[in-house]
Order: sequence, then C-alpha cells, then structure tokens
Amino acid sequence: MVDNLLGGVDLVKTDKVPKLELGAIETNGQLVTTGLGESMGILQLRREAWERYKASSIPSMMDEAWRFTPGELFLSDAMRNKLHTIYDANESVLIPSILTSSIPVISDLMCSCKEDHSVANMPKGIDLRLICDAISTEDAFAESIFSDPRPKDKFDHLINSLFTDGVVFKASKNIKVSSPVGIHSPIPAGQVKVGRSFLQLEEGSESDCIFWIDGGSDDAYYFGWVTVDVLPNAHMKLTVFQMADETSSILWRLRGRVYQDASLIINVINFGGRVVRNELNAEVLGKGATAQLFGLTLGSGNQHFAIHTLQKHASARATTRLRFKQVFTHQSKGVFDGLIYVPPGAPGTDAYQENHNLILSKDAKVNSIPRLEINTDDVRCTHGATVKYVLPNEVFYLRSRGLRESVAKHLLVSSFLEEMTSKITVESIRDYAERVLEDKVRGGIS
Amino acid sequence: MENVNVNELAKAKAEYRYGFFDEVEYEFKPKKGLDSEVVNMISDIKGEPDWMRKFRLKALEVFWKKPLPTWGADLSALNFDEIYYYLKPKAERSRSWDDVPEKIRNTFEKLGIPEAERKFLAGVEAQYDSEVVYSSIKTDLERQGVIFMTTDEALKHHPDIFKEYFGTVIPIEDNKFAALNSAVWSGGSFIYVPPGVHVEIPLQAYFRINSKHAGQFERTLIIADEGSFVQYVEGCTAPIYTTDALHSAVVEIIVKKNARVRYTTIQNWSTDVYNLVTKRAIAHEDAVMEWVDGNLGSKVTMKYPAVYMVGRGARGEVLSIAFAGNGQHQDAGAKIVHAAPDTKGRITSKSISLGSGRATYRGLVKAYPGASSIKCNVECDALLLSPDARTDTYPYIQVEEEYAQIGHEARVSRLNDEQIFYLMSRGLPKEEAIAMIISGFIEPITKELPLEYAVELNRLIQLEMEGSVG
Amino acid sequence: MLEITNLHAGTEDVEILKGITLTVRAGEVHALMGPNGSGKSTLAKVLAGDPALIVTEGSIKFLGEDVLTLTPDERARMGMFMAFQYPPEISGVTIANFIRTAMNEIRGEEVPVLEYYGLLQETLKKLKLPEDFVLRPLHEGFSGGEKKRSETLQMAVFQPKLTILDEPDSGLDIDALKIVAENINELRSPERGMLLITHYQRILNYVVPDTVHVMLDGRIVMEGGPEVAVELEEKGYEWVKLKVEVT
Repeated sequence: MVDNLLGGVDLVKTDKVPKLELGAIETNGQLVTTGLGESMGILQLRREAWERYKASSIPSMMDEAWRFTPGELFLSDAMRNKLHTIYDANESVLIPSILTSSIPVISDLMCSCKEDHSVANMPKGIDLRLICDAISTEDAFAESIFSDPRPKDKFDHLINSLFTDGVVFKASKNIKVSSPVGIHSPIPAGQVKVGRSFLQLEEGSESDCIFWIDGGSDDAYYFGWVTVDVLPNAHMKLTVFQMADETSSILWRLRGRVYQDASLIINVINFGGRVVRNELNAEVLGKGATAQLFGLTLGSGNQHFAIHTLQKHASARATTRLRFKQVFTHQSKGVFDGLIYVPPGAPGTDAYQENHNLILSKDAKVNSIPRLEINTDDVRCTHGATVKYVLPNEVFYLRSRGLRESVAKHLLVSSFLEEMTSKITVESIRDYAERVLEDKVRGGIS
Repeated sequence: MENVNVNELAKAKAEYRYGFFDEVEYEFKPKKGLDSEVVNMISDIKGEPDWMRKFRLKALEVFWKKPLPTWGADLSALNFDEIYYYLKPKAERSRSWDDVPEKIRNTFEKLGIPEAERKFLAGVEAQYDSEVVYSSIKTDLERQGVIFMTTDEALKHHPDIFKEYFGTVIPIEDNKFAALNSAVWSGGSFIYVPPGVHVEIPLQAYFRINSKHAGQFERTLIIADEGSFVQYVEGCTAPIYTTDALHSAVVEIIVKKNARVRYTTIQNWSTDVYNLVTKRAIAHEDAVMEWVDGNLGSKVTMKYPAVYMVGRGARGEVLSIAFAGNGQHQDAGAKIVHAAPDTKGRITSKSISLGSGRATYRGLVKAYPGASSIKCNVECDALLLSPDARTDTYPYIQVEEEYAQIGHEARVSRLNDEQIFYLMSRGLPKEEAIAMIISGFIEPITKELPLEYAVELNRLIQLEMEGSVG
Repeated sequence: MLEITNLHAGTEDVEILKGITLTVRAGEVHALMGPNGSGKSTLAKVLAGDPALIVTEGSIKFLGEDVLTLTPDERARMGMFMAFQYPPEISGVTIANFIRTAMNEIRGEEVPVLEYYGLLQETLKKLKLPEDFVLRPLHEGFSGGEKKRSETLQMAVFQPKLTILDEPDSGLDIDALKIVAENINELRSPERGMLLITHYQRILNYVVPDTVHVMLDGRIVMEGGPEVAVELEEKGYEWVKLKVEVT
C-alpha cells in the first residue's frame, strides 16, 4: 500500500553473523555471544535470564494487565520454532529513504555490522552505537543491563537472554541537539527480532529521536525493550513510528525515567502489525520532572492493538500528561489500559490522562480502561475517556456544505488524528505519516 | 389476593418434602462453618419446596468451586469456617444494650435516633413497634395488588411467581458470593408490582424491620410489571451493629416494559464486616432502573450495582457514594450493560477517603454488538482528606458496537484551601467549613435521597470527621 | 477601628507587603489604589487572615484587638468582611444555605427561618437580583459580574462593621457598578468603616472616599483626599512612580 513510497539504501552486509541454529540457549546463547563478540560472563547472564524465562509463567488473561492481550499470543509454537533461527542474515534490509534523506540514521540490526555503519554524520556530542558494540567493549555496562532496570516478567527475561539488536544512544552533558536522529529498527521477514536499546540524556542535554519500526513480513515477531533515562535538566523528544507488516506480532516496551527538572515527550504512532502490544512506562523521579505521552493508533483489517501505559509519580511536584487517540475500522480491536500511579508521599503531583476512540465499523471493538491509583492527598489528577463514532449530524453538516459523504467522514477522521501526526518535528516524515494515515483512513471508510 | 394465597399455599404445601415446621419449637443448634448439612438444615427449618433445596445444594457446590475474586479488595482474612450461616431468630437477638460498644451508642444519641429504634438497630431488640404505621400501608398496597413481604414468606405464599423469577437475574454461577447467598439465603424483601400500578410511597425495609430475618444473607427480588413504578429504600444511616463478620446479599430486580424502579441503599455496617453484595437489574423496553447506593460502614465493601438493558430505549442510572474512613476499603462502583439499541446509561460516583481509608471506583460500561445509538456517561469524583488516604479508579469501557457514544471523566482532588479560607472569612469555623464543602461535594447524590436519609448522611459524615481533619 | 502598623507579609518565598501603616476609623471610607502587582489584594487577604500568607513583622488591630493570631472565622465573627476579588466556586452548596449558616455563626444563634428568608428576599429585591439567584450553587458557573453581586449580597445581609472590598468594580458594567456602589454607600454609617481597593478611579465617582492611599511595590507612597484619585486618573501610575523616584 505504501511500500512504493520507500526507496532505500542497503546497509546490511551478509556473512558476518553465523546463521544460528538454536534449540536452546545453551547452544544458542553461546552462538549469540560469540557472534556478537561478547565475553563469556555475558553468556552466563544470558543463560540465567533464559532459566528465568523458562521458570516464569505466561501472563494469562487472569492477570489484569494481560486480560485483553494474553501472553500466549506472543509465545505460540510458531514463534518458538522461529527462535531456532534467530537471523538468516542473508536477508537484506533497507533503511527507508524517507529517513536517510532527512536525518542521520542508524539501523539497530546486529548484522548491520560495526565498520559498515557510518556514524560520522551523527551530531557532535551524540554517541550512537549498536548494542552489540557497546556490550562487547564495555563489560560494566554489559553486566548492568541485566539488572537495571530490573526485569519484571517472562518477556523481559526472554529479551535479556536473546537480544541481539538495539542501540545505545548517549547525549553528553549540556549538549543540545535540536535536529533529530533516527534509529531504524527493522524486523527481518519471517524471523524473531529481539532487541534492547538504551537512550540516555546526560544532565542539561537536549535531543530529538525518531525510532522507526518496519519490516516484519511473513509472520515475523519483535520483542523490544527500550530504556530511556533523562537526567536532571535534560530534555528528550522521542517519536516512535511503527509501520510493520500486518502479519507481524510486536511486543514493544518502553521504560522511561525522568529526573529533576527534566522532560520527556513520547509520541507513538502505531499503524502496522497484526498483534501489537505497546507498554509505555514513564516514571518521574524528581521535582519539576515532566513526562508527556502522546499516541495515535489506527487499526484496520484484523489488527489488534493493546496500549498499556503507566504514569508513575515517584517524586513530589512532578507532572505527567497523556493523550492517546485511536481509530478502529473493519474487524480491528483496540485496548487502551492506562494507569496513573501516585505512591504515598508525592505531594504536588499533577497528572492527566486522556483516551479518545473512534469506531468506524460495526465489527470493530474497543476496550478502554483509564485507571487511577492515588495515595497522596495533595494531587491534581484527572482523566477522561471517550468512545464515539462519526456522528451523523457532523457528517450532515459537512454534506450540506457540498462534501460527499466519504469525503466528509474522511475529513472528520483525519482531523481527529491530525493532532498527533502534527507533533512529528521532521517535515518530510510528518508528511509521510499523514499520507499513510490518509491511505489507511480511505481504506477504512470505503 | 388473600384468597389466592390460601389456594397457592395449599398447593405449595402438598409439594413440600417436610411440610411446615414451627420455627420456634425447632431444636436447632447453630454451628459455625458451611457444609451440605447446614444447607439442608436451613431448608428443613424453613420447610422449603424441593426445588429450592436442590437450588441451595447446587449453589453450595458452585461456591466451593469458584475462586475468590483475584481483583478488588483484600479478602484474605475472611475465614469461611468461622461464620454462622444460619442463626435461629431468637439466638440472633440475645444481646443486651450494655454489650453494644459505647462508640455506637454515642452515635445513636448524636443522631437523635429514638430509644426504641436504637435498640433494634443495635440488634438488642427484635421488635420495633411500627406495626400501626405498617398495617395501614399494607392494606393500601394489598388493595392495589402489590405483594410486599419477606422473601421467605413469598416462597410460601406466591410459589409460582417466585419460581418464575428467582435466580434469573443473578444465576448461581455468577460469582462466589452470589453462590454463597444462593446456598444459605434467608430473609430479604419480595416485591411484586402489578401492571400500571404506581406505588406512591417509597417501600422501606424500615417499615418491616420487625421481620426476624433481616440479616446476613438476605435475598431480595423485585418485579415491576409493565408500566408500574416502585421505589424501595433499604438500610439505615445509623450503624448497624452486628457480630457477623460477613454480609453477602443478593438483590435481583426485573423492570418490565415502561416500568420504573428506584432502589436506594445506605449501608453503614460496623467496621469489622465484609460487605460483599451482588445487585443487578434487568431493564426491558423503555424501562428505567435507578440505583442510589451509599456505602459508609463495613471493613471491606465490594458492590457494583448493575443494570442490564435488554429492551430498546431502556435507561439505567447508578448514583454511588462511598466514604472510606480509617482502615476501611470501599470497593464500589457500577455496571451498565447496553444489550439493546437506543439505551442510555449514567454513572455518577463520589468518594471520600479519610485517615487510612481507601475508596475504589470500579465500573464497567459495555456495549454489545447491535446495541446501536447508545449513550453512556460516567463521572467519578474522589476527595482525599488526609495524606494517608488512597483512592483508585478502575473504569472498564468495552465497546463492540459502532454506534456507541461513551464518555468517562474522573477527578481526584483534596480539600481546596482557598474554599476553606473563603468560608472561614464568612464566619464558619474550619470544621464546619470543611463539612459544608463535603456536603456540597456529595450533593448530587444526597439530593436523590429521601430527606431524612440525606440529613442523617450529612450529619454522619460530619461525626466521622470530627477531630480527624487538621 | 482598623490599625495596621508596619505590616510586612508575603508568601514563603517573597515579601509582598513591605511595611504598611494605615488606620481606618469608624465612619470613614478609605480607598486604596495601586497598579497591578502592587500588593493591594495581598493586603486584603492578610487582613482577612488567609493562611497562605505569612506575616513577618508589624501588627493588625481590629476594634482594639490584635487579630494576627485569630483565624479567618474569628475575625469574621468580630465583624470583619472581605469581599473577594475572585471568590472561589463551591459546588453543591447553595448561596441561601451558605449565607444562613454564616449568619448563624456570626450571630451565635439560629436565625429563625422566616426572618432569614424575609431578609434575604428584601435584600435580593434591593439588589435587583432574581429570587432564584440564591438557589444556585455558590459561584458555580458564575460570570465575573455575578460573583461580585454574590459578594455584595452577602455584605448587605451581614452588615459588617468593617468592610474590605477587593476590586468590587472589576468586570462590572455601568448599571451593575451603580448598584454595587449604592449598596456600599448605604452601608456607610458612623459605626462602620470601609477599605475600598481599586485599580481604577471609576467607582470613586459613586463612592466618595474620605482618604485615598496609593500603593506601589508593597508600600503606601502617597496619601490624600479624593482629589488624589482624580489626579491619578489623569496622570496615571507612571506619574506616581516618577514622583516617588524623585523624592
């Protein structure tokens, strides 16, 4: 549908990584470790993670946070079989020209190997490397990532045991980079991608990142975990653009920590995937910290989107904002499950959460669960959720001004979502997002 | 009606396995814990028809099988083996006034509740002489064909209508506590309002509090036939003192075409009671069902009055207020289910948490496929009065229909210093200023209450807060 | 009646009032003028006892008694009334119920219901307010003008000994302004005192003050008769600033 918009630069070299034939981590971990040039100490940590993965239970529908998207969806036999071949590196992956032509970009595939990766055009003060480079050269960092942040469930353990892809992004102290940097995260066709990435902004720095997920044809899987740390007085803007193939299954979690007087703005745009589970956690850890989460989901066909958000106020006098807009057509399904959590002793908390859903067909389904757990009295917390359809009186009004019905509906839906695409800072990418949006909306209305 | 009853009675009697028992003379030693023997004994004592015995025994099986809910309040301290599931009426009332804790006696006094009533409320006396008032109303009702009696009586006197509706709104399998109630239920109210009949005065449990069975596992069944109207008020704002640790009632309501039912509850159990109640109404075409639900007492409450709208144009409304004081957890809310087109729902919830109290709103709004052009609005307001207080909001919105409009809004706030200062600058002492702000906060609910309940509710909240707001 | 001596006050972070001395005797009307941010409203709130403000130095005496340690309600019961510039909205509490509760507190006894409603109706009529005005929840959804009228209504009912009006004219059209002014004038008597805080001279055409004080940056920088207000209207606050800088 939109593939014709994608030109590309082939950055992927073959043969660098052995084709992994893996039955279990005992062998496969070793291969991963060898392939990535990691120390044997890391292999041990991967093995432990694998043991924990095996020992921990699958989150079931009895578990509140998994009620509408059971864990089994991501742990099917098909997925397990695919785990046997982590990468067939012979597949070449394109970085879309829409990225390469607008911003400096790095692809997070482990096989897009070191020396081929030109990071020379990265802005000064930004250190952007593949995770495999980082852990094979920095032992302390490598070890720390297995415990910080602490893995919380079966999928965290799975990711820790098998991750190969990902980047480490660092903005040095007081470095201010206003032009965005791209991280391309492609899902190889028919395979299982496991990724961990770290984005860290040191004190007083500023940057803008675009995290672009695509690929994923032939029933591919993606397990991704991104940690974002925004240290005091730093400011981060992160746009996540997900347009994977509609046969892929994606479990992607972002855990952000925002310190004193720092800010984090996340804008997640979900177009692709068959089953998509996004977990977006933002924890504010210092006075004056601000986290803002925005999101757009456009579901069509048989897509299933589950957005789980957490706004955690671990500090007094911090602010979080959340606003998610979702549209569902055909037989698509959407879950929005958001929680504002204010532990005891966080006075001056200001939190806000909003979720709006538009249903465009009789077979679409929406679940919205905007939750609050408040343990401090001096707070300002509000939330709202709405579900509605394209109202006949609105359509009528537009038609009375001469618009055809489909045009009128199209206009109403696009304007409902436009707020979110308009937040994309890079013009060419914003235009592209709007074109994809138009395309999907048109397909959804007619 | 009386004549019909006699015939029905005779017919029903023939079906009974054990015939009638004289309750007073029956030798019954209350025992703790629950097994089929206890359930059989309850059925024996009541002289119930066989189908009810089977119903109870089946419910017991379901009760054992069902797990405790994995969500909601903490029920881990609830010990099913330490509970009396049936107490003979006499044994229930053997307490003396001196045994009633001083705090509760003082509350009665402060509320200005008449002496005789106080003793009843404290469980000291079974008889509260409202017989005179009651009988005149009763005559009125009977003339209109309204049946209003205890559920036990209704099973005896109106077995057909009873069997037709009993357990149809809340099946045994619904949840563990509905199963428990189905196994050991006793007492509660049965109301049948014939087509077109409007019962002008609110029927109150109050009028028949001399009924011996008011208690732990009451079962209420209300049928409002086509075009009828009835309002029912249960409970009392004065604390009900009981030594029973568990209260688990079931209320089933059927609102037929064009009928309207309003059910008002003010719950103020003493603070060691687990109050786990299942309340549900089915609203048919153009019917209106309104729940007004106030939760003040108990240690733990889990209660979500529900309206299932199954007929086109039905309306359902839940007004809920929860007050969670020190050590209390009020897990309350509402369920609005749209299963027919053009149905409208509304939920208004207000909660106040004080001390270490925790108030949780838990609600569901669901639109099934085909329930087109439905609308539902949910509004939740929580007020936190102390740094240790907690409030949660868990609203579930499930929509499987295109033409649905659903809105949910919630706010959490604490007392506004500016408001307090303003009222104080007009001469109100701080506590009175706070009480005034709070009464304003819950006003959307209290204005729907019968006046005497509204006044008492405000006074009670004022009492609860005395000295606890700095 | 009101004696303010060397009053220093502000929030935790900033000192706003930097030594105010001002005396209002019974029977007098004082106007306090000043540009935005000069501390006029802060002074009004400190007088009424706003706990959000901290007094660091100086004293406030009302009817000969030091009121600094008194709570806002105690001051109100002594006969002090401050008409707020921005009265808060309190939902669910009707004006009628609120005024009655406050009156009972001020009088220290229950005002008979009939007497109360008689008084209320009479006052409403005088203020040209509709009867159902008092059935509305306190300021909920009120326009700025309606809030001022609610404050005027309370003032007329309570008949306070000392009235502090914090910009009673802001947001009012000329008709409403006249009604408010009329009521202020009606309340003038040898037993009562008034402190009228205003940014503009306009209301002083209707309520002629005995004394005018001009405030700038937390201090009273100019005092005089009603002519000060007229001069101020002509020349503006910049003129005062210049004059202060010169001297």
